[in-house]
Amino acid sequence: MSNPPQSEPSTRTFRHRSDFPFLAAMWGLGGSYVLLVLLLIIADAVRTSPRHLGEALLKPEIQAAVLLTLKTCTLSAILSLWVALPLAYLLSRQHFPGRFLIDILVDIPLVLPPLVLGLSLLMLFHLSLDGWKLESWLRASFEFPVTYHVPSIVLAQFVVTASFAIRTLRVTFDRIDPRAEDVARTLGCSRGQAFFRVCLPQAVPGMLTAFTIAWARALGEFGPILVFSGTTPFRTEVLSTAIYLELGIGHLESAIAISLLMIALAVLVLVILRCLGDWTAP
Amino acid sequence: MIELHNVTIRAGTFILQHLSCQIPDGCYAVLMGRTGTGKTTLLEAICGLRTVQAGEIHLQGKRMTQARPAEREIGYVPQDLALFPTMTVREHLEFALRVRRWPITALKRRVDELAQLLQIEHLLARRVPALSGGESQRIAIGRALSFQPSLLLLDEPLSALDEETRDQVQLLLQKMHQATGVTVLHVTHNRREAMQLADRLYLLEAGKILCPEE
Amino acid sequence: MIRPFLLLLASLIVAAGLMVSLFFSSRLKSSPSLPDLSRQGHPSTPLTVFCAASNREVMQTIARDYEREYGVRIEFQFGPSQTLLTSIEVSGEGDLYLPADESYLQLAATKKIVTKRISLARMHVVLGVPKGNPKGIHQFADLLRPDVRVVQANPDVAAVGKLTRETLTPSGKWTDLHDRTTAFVSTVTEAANSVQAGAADVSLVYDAVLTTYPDLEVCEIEEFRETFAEIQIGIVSQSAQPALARHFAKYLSASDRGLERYRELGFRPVQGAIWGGEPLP
Repeated sequence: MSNPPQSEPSTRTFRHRSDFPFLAAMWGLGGSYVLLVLLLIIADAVRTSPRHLGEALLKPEIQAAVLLTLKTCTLSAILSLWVALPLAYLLSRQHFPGRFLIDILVDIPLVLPPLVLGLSLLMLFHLSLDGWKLESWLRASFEFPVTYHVPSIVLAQFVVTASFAIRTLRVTFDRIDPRAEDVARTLGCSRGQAFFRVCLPQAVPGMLTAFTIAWARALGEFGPILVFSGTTPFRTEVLSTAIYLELGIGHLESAIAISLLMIALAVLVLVILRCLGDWTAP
Repeated sequence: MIELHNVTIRAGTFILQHLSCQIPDGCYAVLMGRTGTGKTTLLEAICGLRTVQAGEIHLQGKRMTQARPAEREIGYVPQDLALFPTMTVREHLEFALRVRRWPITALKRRVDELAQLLQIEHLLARRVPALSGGESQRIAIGRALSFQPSLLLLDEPLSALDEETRDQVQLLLQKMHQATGVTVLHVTHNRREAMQLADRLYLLEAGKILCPEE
Repeated sequence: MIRPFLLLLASLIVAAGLMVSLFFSSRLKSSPSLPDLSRQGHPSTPLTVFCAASNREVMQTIARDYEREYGVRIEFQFGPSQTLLTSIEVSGEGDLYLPADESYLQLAATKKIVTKRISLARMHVVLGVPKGNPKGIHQFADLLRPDVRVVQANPDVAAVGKLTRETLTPSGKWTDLHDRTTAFVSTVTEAANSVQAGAADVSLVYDAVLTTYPDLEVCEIEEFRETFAEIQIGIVSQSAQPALARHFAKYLSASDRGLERYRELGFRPVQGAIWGGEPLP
């Protein structure tokens, strides 16, 4: 047992540490990233001009691309949510053999290089099994062409965004106490009723986050769309591929103008979703 | 009447074997045992939230070993209460009744009845985060009793409460037991609590239930 | 607290609405534009051309001409030449393939993906510099200056790089240039873009590529006088409309039709036949 040394002056006061170095470091590190993103946007804005922006906006192909982008991103995000809810719930709640494998499988679209993903989709629809092709069958039986048509955009976006949505919702469900659902079952609920009445209401903020992440990711999707959907103006040209086409013939300013348009669009939608999130919070 | 015949439950590496006991109807049974002896596991098995590896569970004379939790008509108050974070107190009390599709008038009457019994009329519109420990405990009990189960399981209901609240809730439990006549299985490690509440005392020790006559 | 049920229902309705809207707008687009008299009541699906992004402007112009004259729509899939080739291989779709230069068509021919190949224009290897040539680059020695940043396309990946290497190796100049190159990029377009963006002072590109870069100018040097590649178009062997594809390819290579447009837009077209007003097959 040690006693404090008697030679310690009794007038010595305990010097509290200043919070300044800590906050300065946190703001410094984190803030530098925010600064970087801001600078990138400014660099783009400086390089282009309002004239280019106006020209880009007036082009009918770009207007069509904007509309198509908005529609497909929203649709992919909704579909991702519908797939992610059950899968994330099962992965979170049920312990079944092979759960680890499914976890890995779900992450694969995030790891695959985008061009490879696009080619894989292409191969899936054009793989010839004894002369039978998925693409031909869809066209013949349902008049539903996929490759190089709009459905392929939604599919290409969906493959990646669903993965993000599943990850986000998995975290959400992991944080929701399964005990409450157990009690609900003793009170008379089936598993399904417990899910809808007890678990899902708690998951609403997570669902909105998952949707937001999915939407944002769909907006930036490029590689798979380039390969699987092509870049046909007025049919499968979305904003990300429109930028590629402009760069392809060296129209840098035009490409940047469209990029800024994309950023503006993204900001608008993210703000709307954030407001929706605040409005639905308890 | 609750009967356990030679029940074996495995929870991870933990195992309870050859548990047998009988709890008569309307009895206030207290199960005592040190922490970690598997009391919660046993309650979960009786509820149907945990599968039993061997043995039989009979409730009201019916074989319930494989029955789903919803079929067992048991009110369960877990140790951490597990209240519903997004619902009001009223919605907690209504929950089991809505699932059973009770008519609105009967439902409202029952909720008022419960609120009176538990002395929580002033809390009906509140949400979970705004409740104190004692209040939460009452709501959990109310929720479990709402559909008039034949058995009420309480997992350490008084352990997390301060002394004054503990006495209040203890009194409430006695009052409620007298008023409803429901069979209670109350799990605790506190001897004084057990002595004051129990009609019958059971001990869970070394994986076995000892039922001394009382 | 909003009921999740409402959210899910709302999402279902929105999704259904979007699907309907997308379905109908695509249906509208897929009906081919109505023909003029020369169609002779020929119902045919549009021709699909897998076209390198660098040729977009000129090809779209020619396609508009062709559609006006013959009522047949040309649809394009733009992209990187190698990716386009793989797509044709995997999907089995496509009627014509127009890569950035003929080396890809050679590859395609070896794989039996294209049959006939038709030359359209010649591309010389030149130096691309900012307008006004601020660094005063006029000869090969200028490329080796320490104040000059050189960007070129990777010779193992891009045809222009390979051509450059082939041309300069015999005189031993390749190693010098290689060592002085600031960066290797993967396509000729990226090389031009680097100069456009200000990240490089000079790039080795095709003169044809520079036709769409108003801020860059061509600088020709002695070493590359005989170095050229060709823009060629190939008929895809699996095409479902080979006769129509050949018709369009012929139109494209006619000196008073397709090649005229190539000339207008700054390319160096090859010698072509006069278009005889050949009817649709």
